[in-house]
Amino acid sequence: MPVQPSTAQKWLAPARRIVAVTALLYGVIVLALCFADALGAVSEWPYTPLRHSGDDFLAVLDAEGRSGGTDTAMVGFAARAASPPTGPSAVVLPLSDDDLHEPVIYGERRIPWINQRLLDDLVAMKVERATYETAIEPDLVDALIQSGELVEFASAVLAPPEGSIDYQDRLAVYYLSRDDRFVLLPDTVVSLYRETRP
Amino acid sequence: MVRDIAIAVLTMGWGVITLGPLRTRITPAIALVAAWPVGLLCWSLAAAIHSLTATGFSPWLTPLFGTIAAFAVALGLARIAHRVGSLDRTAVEPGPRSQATRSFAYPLQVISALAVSGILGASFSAAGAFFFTADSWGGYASTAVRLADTGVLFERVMSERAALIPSVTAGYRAFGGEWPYSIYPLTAVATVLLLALLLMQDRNEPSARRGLAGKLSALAAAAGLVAVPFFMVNAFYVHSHLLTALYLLLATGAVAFAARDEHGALAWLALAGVGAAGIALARPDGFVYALVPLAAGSSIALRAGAHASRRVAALYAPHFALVLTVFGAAYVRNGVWVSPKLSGRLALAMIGAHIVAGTFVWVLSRWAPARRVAGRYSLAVLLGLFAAGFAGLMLLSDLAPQVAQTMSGNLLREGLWFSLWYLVPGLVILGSAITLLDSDESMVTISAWTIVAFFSAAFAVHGTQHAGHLGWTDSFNRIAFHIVPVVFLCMGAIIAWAVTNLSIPRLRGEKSQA
Repeated sequence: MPVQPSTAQKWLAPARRIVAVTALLYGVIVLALCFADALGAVSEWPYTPLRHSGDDFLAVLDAEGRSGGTDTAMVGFAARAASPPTGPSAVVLPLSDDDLHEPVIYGERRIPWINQRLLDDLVAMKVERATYETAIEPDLVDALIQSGELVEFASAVLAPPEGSIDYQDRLAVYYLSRDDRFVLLPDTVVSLYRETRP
Repeated sequence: MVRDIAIAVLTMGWGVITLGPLRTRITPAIALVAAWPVGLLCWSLAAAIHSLTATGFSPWLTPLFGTIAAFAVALGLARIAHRVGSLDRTAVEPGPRSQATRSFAYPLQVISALAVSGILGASFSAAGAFFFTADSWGGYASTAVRLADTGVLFERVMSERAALIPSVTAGYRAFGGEWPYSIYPLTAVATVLLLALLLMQDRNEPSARRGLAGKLSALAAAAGLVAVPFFMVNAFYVHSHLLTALYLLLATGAVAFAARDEHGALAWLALAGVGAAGIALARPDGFVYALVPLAAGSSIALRAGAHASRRVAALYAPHFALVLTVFGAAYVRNGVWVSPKLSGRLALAMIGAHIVAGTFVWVLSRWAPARRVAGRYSLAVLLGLFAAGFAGLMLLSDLAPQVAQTMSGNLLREGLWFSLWYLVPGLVILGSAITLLDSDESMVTISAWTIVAFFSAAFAVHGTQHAGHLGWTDSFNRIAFHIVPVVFLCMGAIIAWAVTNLSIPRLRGEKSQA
């Protein structure tokens, strides 16, 4: 005598079929949209891969303010790191050994590689906020991004102190934004920095 | 180019050695592809030996240390594999595949894999098109320079970048290069292959319909993943995201197999433990994300009745061995370091949390009533806890709502994800429905659960830290990438289940003939 399926089993089979059809259709939709996105991204993607080139530097200065650097790898990395598709790219600025001490607090975040003097410099660069916490106002940065007049600002020490093996002194990056983004400064500010830098 | 070949071949070789004892259980194909991420981990272990012996990276010492590390891990995994053997001595006769591995087939496969990785490494090194951000050169490059010269896992590498990528990069520098570009696209290739293999293996059964379902789902998932623009960016982005995503995929897939492969469960759980260690060593916040596959693996291990405690040990032993070796070397050299990111104290607390979690699960596994309840309900209970945690953060923290707003803004509009994250909730809902209908569908269940759990973990990390910003470079937006391969694993598993469960006339005919 054949076994009669239970009520649950009676419901389970059609439910399974409905979910299977839905799942298959949904899978097709996901795939179709993924491919559509990929096609769209080819034309819309705003970031082209960066190539190893140091040609588009605004300035590369060592700790004494001389142009050039001793570590081509770092220069190359800096160039590639800060090459937006439009406008000039990186400014690699000097730090002396003294700059790397006395870490300060930016907002609620401790920034190990920036000190008071650098922040003073930034404020002196007419980033028009009086306090350090708002020296680089996120809203200001966003507005400047929108205006398209920004370049990325990176900082590195290219010449390690004589005899030093502390590579933290050799390369330093400022995180002045609220999180991991570069500090973004307008072109004019960068120029001003170059002019006023002792 | 020669350096890229050397890095690729060494990495693959170490991975092959490490996974050798598990290869018949996790299948030779998956073992060969998983050899890439596991081999990358060996660079961290080599760095740990350099750190302990106070020797700088060199073209001779580093390969030697990496090889020693690979054999040491292999010995540990062989111990687990031995237990596998004792478990299934009477269970399964060797099939054609495992017979093939005893002949020359496997050595030939290994040689082919080494050759292909070398050729790909050389090819990708010539590509010359990579994405860099401040983290790339300011973090990974600078730490690798010092690590290569001194051999010390110094405080900044441990606190800000984690050991893995600086170690590989330091190894590359030891060979005279600057940056191992090729490891990123090679990792992308490994990710796509692993995704496809996991899905094919999930349906690798005599039934024609299941075989077709496996191939279809593998093709669909791999194509879908490659089509995601952010995946292509990460394939050339000098950062930890792609590696973390690969380890998460490896651990998630391994846990899913552990749930259904009774005889290979220990091997799969050991692989999951290795994957979790990879997550913890790839990023400073990796400890938190590593908890996701460890939690899933614990739940699966607890379902094993009397064997549960063995399985818990198989999951956690490789994880602790790898993590403690690397962090232990760092503590020996630096003491308890101070850092605004992953300080020595915080790292100790995270390791302690993992040990407490592992011990708790092990104790549960020894107590039958608790084991039964936990094995059955722990995933659901954890989801409830995640939901409660999310709600608590949203209500009590001023920052969390802002983070949630930025996060959704990035995932849905500004983060250059296009339509992907609009589609993921549908996959999770379908995955949940399939789980209710078919409790054996572990790949669907585990991958869907992992997606939700990962976002809970990520929100716990970011919802209390900083608000983030709109744009693809936002930290949370980039971290969301870690789960993308698992999203496609879930999609592939759902498609495979659907194809298996739909009536296809030709296959139905096959079935009736059978």
